[in-house]
Amino acid sequence: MSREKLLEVKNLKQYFKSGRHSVVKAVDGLTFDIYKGETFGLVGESGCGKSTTGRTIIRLYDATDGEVWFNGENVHAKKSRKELKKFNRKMQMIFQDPYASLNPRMTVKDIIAEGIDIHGLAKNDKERTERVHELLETVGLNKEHANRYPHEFSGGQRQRIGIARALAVEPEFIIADEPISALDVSIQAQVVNLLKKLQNDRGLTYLFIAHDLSMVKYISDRIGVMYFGKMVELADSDELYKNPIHPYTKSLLSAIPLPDPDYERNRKRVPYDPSMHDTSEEPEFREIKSGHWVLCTTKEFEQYKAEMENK
Amino acid sequence: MAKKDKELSKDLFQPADISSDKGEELGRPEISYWKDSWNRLKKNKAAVLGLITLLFIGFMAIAGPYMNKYEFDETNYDAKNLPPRVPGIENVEWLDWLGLNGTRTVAVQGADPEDALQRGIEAFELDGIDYTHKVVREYDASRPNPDERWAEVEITFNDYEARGLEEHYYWFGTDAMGRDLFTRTWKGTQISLYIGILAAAIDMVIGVAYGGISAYYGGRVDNYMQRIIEVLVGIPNLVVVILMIILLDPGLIAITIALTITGWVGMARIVRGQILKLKSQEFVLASRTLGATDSRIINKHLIPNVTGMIIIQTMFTIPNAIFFEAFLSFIGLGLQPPLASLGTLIDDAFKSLQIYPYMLVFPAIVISLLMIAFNVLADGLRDALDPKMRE
Repeated sequence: MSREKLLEVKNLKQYFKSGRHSVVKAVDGLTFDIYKGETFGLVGESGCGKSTTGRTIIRLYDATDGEVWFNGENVHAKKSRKELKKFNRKMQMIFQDPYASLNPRMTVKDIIAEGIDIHGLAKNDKERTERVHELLETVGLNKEHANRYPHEFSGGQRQRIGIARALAVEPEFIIADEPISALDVSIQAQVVNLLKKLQNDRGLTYLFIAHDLSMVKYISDRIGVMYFGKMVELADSDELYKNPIHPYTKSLLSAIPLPDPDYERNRKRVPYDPSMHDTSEEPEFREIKSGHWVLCTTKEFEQYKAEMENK
Repeated sequence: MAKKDKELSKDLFQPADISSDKGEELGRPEISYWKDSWNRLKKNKAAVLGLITLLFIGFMAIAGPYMNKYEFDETNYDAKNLPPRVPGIENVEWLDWLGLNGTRTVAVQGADPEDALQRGIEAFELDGIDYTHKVVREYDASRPNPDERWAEVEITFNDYEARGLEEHYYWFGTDAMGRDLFTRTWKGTQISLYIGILAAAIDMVIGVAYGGISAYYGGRVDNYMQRIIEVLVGIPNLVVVILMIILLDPGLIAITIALTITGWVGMARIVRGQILKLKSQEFVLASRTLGATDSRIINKHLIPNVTGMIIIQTMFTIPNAIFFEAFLSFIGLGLQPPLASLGTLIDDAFKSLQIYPYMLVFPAIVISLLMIAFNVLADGLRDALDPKMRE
């Protein structure tokens, strides 16, 4: 593969203590790469560790184990304040809940300009205001909105403000943590299209975390499917939708509804039963086809391969 | 209905020429957060009234004790228990009901009304002085209660004249030791305000910082800090004060230290709860991913979002502190005479409430105004500081 790797996640683990002796393994040995300029979709059911993965990558949590390499630098290594700031400029995040992600006591201008203030990107107040106006227009809002407070906006508008805030420091890589799941469907498309447009204009790389499979397919180049803190399947998005191999992926895909009564009447949901797996050895992440990886044991690997060829 | 339809025919209406995106372009002038809050506060009439009342009481607390020739600790036993007398108002007849003209009404009993009046004149030295009297009751042997068989008259006279103190004007009257109540009321307000403001300052500085640090850093720091608070709360306030008094004399310093030791605990707990809730909110995470320092997050994101709570809690603290001081004075551990606070003044006046009601009235009015003004202003401030209340 000649494409340049922007982000490498190696055996990432994030455990949380819950109570005195029990540990929640939110992310348990995750390995994947994200190439420059692509959109990597991360899907899975609620509580499978998608958001934790995103937050650990951006250092909101300290990883229990494993490494994250960004542009050839170890993200979780000890860093000086200066290095940290540099890192913060390159990697940004868009949050899930547009109602919780904007400080209700700050004007939109101050919210968007926060990154500009922290990193000293504007020489004076006038330049700062100009930058904010520019960013507002980039995300499709009016510059007159700058003096308003977040509660004066709708969910979709708030999410755009959140995007503008992330863009203010000119990042290369943006983690979008379920940016559309709190919005209604008509607004979802607007925000996703805005993200796509920004990617084209600015050459951004996305880690797109979501649970809406059709939306993920629309925006992503490659998709990783997570189940209970582990990556179970990873492939190009078309490949994944055409040839799902892991039973969990199959089950997920069978759950996508279509607004078509005929199709819906005959749609068969495939239940996923984790006990169907071969437990003779620890499953490993194996490449079944170029670029298509599945979590499986040796036995299952053979079985999946046969399945693939029969298709 | 049909008639109305005729009156309002269609050609009377014209489409308004405003496109829907115009609304989005409506800007508002750029004003700072504090200016904006001030504008909102000004619109709240009750809060403005409260603010003016507080400013007035504050001014009087400072200037009041110097407004007449009497000192707050100057006793004059010839002038004890005098009713209020205000120059100017004393001569206005229709304001007599206010009782600010130095007159006093006493009830005297005797064998018959004549006898009662004579006894009164002797007792109050009313020879050669204007007085009016009213017969309340004639002698009546048939009453079951022997005490009520006596005849009774009410004599109204100018107490200042009767005692030969015509040149004196005690605006709020005097207490049982002949000290000027006007001076003492404002001196007392001064001390009560000092205690209230001290308690508020302790709350704001120690309480907010302690709660904020405890919640923000969390984990072990939080654990230890909360255990310390629990120990402090476990010791009753009164015990702390009594221990203080072993070391110091009872008085302002002892009260100050007692308040400093435990007064901030309630605030610390409330701030901790709020910060715990806020610190995992996404806007704080967003600020962290942007590389904000801890102090920036605390000052720009956390504190502004708990100001409402802080203000309300402070406004609860002020009256509590003022009453706490009054309580301590009441049991003899607080302020020592001749110093006065509103609490001690009310406490003293309470003992002779039925005979000299004016002694209670003035400090009671001041303390009530103080409480109401603080509450109303706090309410207004909470709303004013919240941008969601912006129209």
